Amino acid sequence: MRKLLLGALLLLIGFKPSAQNLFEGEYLLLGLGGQMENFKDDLVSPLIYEGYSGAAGIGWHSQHGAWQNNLAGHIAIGLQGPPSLNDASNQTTTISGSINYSLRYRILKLEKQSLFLGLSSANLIGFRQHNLYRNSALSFSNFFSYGLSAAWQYRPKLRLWQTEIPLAWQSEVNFPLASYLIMPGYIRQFFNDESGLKTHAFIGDFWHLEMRHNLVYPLKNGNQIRLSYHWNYAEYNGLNYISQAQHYLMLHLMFKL
Amino acid sequence: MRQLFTSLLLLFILASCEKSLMQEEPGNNPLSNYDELWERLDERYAYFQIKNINWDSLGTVYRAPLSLESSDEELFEALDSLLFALRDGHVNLSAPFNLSRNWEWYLNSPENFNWEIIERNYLKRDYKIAGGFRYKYLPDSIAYLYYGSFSSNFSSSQLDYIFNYFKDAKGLIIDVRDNGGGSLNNAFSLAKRFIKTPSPALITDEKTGPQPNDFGNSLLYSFSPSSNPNFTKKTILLSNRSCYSATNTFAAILKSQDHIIQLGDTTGGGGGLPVDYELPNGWTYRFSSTRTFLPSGEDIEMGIPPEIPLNLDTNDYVLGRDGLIEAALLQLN
Repeated sequence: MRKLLLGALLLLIGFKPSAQNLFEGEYLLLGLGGQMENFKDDLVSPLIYEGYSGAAGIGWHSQHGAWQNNLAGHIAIGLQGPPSLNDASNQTTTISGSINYSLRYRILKLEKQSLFLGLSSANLIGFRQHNLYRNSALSFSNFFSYGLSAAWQYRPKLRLWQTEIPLAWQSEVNFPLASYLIMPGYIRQFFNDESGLKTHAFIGDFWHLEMRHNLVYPLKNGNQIRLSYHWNYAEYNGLNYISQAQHYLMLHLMFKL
Repeated sequence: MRQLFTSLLLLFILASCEKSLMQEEPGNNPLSNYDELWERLDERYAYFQIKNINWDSLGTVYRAPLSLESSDEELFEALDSLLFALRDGHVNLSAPFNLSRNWEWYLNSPENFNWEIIERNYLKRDYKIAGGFRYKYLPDSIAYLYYGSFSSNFSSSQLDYIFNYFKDAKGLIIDVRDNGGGSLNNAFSLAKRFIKTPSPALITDEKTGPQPNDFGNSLLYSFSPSSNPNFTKKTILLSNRSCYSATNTFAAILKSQDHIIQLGDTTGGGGGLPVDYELPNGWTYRFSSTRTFLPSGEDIEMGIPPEIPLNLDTNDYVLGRDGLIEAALLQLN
């Protein structure tokens, strides 16, 4: 019965065992998922806000030999509120997202594992509107950051009911060293139709860390599905303190190009 | 396999710890809520110096009766008293059971307005209504335009129609009594139709830091004559103490024009842009964090005084007369 169910599942997703490195080649990614977001924005509230959003993503993955390129973006829309309050009227509607580009070179290759190092641009954006406020309802926090990047690939030889499961795993860490920030001014988002604060900051004045974990599974015709978990955290203590964290879980279809 | 799952689990646990990285939330008790509001205004309220308010002293006085066991009503009362001392209609605290406010700026002054008298005895049944405006020709080709709220939106074509309609008027009465404000954009759009001489009209600045003298982002607002239909003949602006916020700014802009005379009572004031915030207990509040000045340097927070001060005579009510409209008609004739 188990074999029958497994067989049906593999047929459904078009499983085709392959010995190749699943990360090799070029892929277009389209994904859907959900996001949990926390933020503390002193222009909005002294409280930490938290909530869930629907998310969609798009990206491009390329790996040829020792070089790996990744471009990934996502956008999420949802409501956040302070979990410490029972009243649901204090809420923000938030459009947030990320855009990430990384270029890495493989510095270590073992039988099942590889390690890449390189550079990345990690960008985190958040547009929040408080539903009870008027003149100061809007608050942006945009981190356009750049720094170092590392990725670890793992290609386990998994067997389930005597069947080889061709999974692969990639974890990425992006550690920005500097960032271009677009933030609210001291009392409101805009002054004279421009954002209140636009500045460069270096690590120490801001913090930004990004982690991505991807589980890849092959489909027919070289296409793949990918389950991604992404954590993004950024903080800046300027005119107003702002910290923002995103967790998103997304299922991507990867179309081989 | 076990290593993979252990690593995964560790990653998820570590990644969800960001709340411990974030700046701590203030406590939610009566004293911390009081302190939160006091500190926020201490750093960002714009009018302590102009109004000569000793915020430190007020903070100590109204905090004294509070304790960790104080009820919501007691906390509200303490904050209400503290905020009342700011004498600012743009300062409010909103709790689920009450709204704190200081409306003395009009409650302590004559009403100077009675819509019933205007509608029944001056406009009667055949006046026009468009985009929040009520308007009509009064006798002797005097135009009368009433606008009761800058929150009532209007289109440019509606203004075109109205000012075309009044193009042959000998003079115009723009009546903004009891207009409590609304959109500054509406105030600017309407004011532009009365500009005859290009001139600077307003200067604004705002709090840019926590220190008392941290003001910046200064802006000069100058207005030029409109290329659309407008009115640049003799105009009387009727005002009372209920003209607040955007209406106060409107009156300030018209002050720059020699052909416009303000008649009635000083406007209510409200020259600051209110911004919103919330307390750890979820109550929201707002306060002024910008300032607005006339080019002469005079702050408009406390109102724009009229060139011709005049209060309604209550005996006129009985006779069905509006003394301010009558005085305006005399000026224009």
